[in-house]
Amino acid sequence: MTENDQEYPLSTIYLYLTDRCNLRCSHCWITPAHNRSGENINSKIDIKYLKRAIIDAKSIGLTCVKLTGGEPFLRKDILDLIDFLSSNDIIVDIETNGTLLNEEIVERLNDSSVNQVSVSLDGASEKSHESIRKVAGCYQKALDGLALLTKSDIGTQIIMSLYEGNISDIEKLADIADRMEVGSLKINPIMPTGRGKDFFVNKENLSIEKLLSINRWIEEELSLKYDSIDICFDIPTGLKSLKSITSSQLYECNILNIIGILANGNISLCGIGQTETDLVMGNILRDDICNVWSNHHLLKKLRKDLPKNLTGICGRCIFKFRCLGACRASAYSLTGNLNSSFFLCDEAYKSGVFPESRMIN
Amino acid sequence: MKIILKNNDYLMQDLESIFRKEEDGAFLFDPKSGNLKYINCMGVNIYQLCSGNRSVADITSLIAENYRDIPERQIKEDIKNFLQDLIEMKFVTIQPQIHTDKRR
Ligand code: SF4
Ligand code: SF4
Repeated sequence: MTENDQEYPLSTIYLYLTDRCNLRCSHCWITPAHNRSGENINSKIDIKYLKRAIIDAKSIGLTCVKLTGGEPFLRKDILDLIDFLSSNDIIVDIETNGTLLNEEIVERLNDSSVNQVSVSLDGASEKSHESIRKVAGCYQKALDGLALLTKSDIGTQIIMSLYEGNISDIEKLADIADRMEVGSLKINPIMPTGRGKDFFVNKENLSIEKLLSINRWIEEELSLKYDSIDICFDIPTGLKSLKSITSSQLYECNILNIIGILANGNISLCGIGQTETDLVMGNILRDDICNVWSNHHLLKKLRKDLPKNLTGICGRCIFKFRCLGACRASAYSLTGNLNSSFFLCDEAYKSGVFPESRMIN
Repeated sequence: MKIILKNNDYLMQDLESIFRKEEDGAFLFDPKSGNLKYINCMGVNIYQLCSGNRSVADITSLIAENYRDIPERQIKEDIKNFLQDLIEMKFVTIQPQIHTDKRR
């Protein structure tokens, strides 16, 4: 390990196993191609290259791989890859729409180093989930997949993408999570990236005032209703109450310790290289991931800039050293600048609702 | 290195750190290092007593008086640990000269 690798270990790889999906979610930021039949497909990159990149990355600190996509279970060799990761003591997290899970798959996952499987559910009924996921029958399939997971020892999470149309589903989804003994419910306000941009164009996104009032309701009422589920509302730390900052797990992006490998083998700043090709730094077919991590100018600049050169409200925020400006990928896709402030805090600041106590100068 | 705090050490807030009070506690932030610490209401009271003219013993006694339901030994221990954290994060410093004066 070089000095640089010790300061910035590459602790996590986000592996976008395929750019295809069997659903057509209107908010997906990756905008994957639709695979209508849902049958198994292999993406372009051969698993042997992924394995090589993982072994290499272990030498610079890799401890965790998040498998995502598109829909990762569309790849038939995913279980082979998971076995490989387990035998190399790599912790595995998976994000899936849950529809392709079956008993055999869950059993294999249970025998592996899979730590958590997050299943996307955007509504607590067929109507509301499928109105956004656009494929009939996918609600029940996701629930069935989740039910299988909750019977195993694997950690489980429901991920909900929030917009104007499904606010009333928050509590119902929390009830489902509680009833099914799911570990946590993570609520992500839809981002103005990928297909999510349309929600902003159609004004179906939530205003900052509404997001803050939902946050207060979750912190002060909803979370208290359940003993065992952890409810995380994914807005930046600067907008959370002091109590929730100190008492609950914060989902902060560790962009300085993450790299993305896209379905075609491209090495990217998390998954953003899928839509912002300027942020592709190489390809595992031809480039050494360790060399990219240590020497690519984009990463070197990011390390120099974050958080020191963040601009706007992020530059003035007392949380910038740990928050690093929330999602840099969305900042880039909105402004073309990796140092610009995060749009939600920016909106809060402009509307006068960003807490004064968290600003400097 | 772990700082061993003595009862007759005098403590002073670091003036370059930023202290921001909120409804149920406060943040301490060092703009140079980026160090950030969240403190609860008791922590706020303790921090505010670090004004340069009180010793560790003074501070622990003053605070312990207000929390009579907690065993004295335990609360004094907790306060000392908390002060130690503040010192290690450079939000509070030990004042050597007042310390000497007071011993006379
Ligand atoms: S202002 Fe920026 S650094 Fe501060 S909490 Fe918001 S996103 Fe994070
Ligand atoms: S930059 Fe955004 S999308 Fe990328 S890992 Fe961080 S939070 Fe996730």
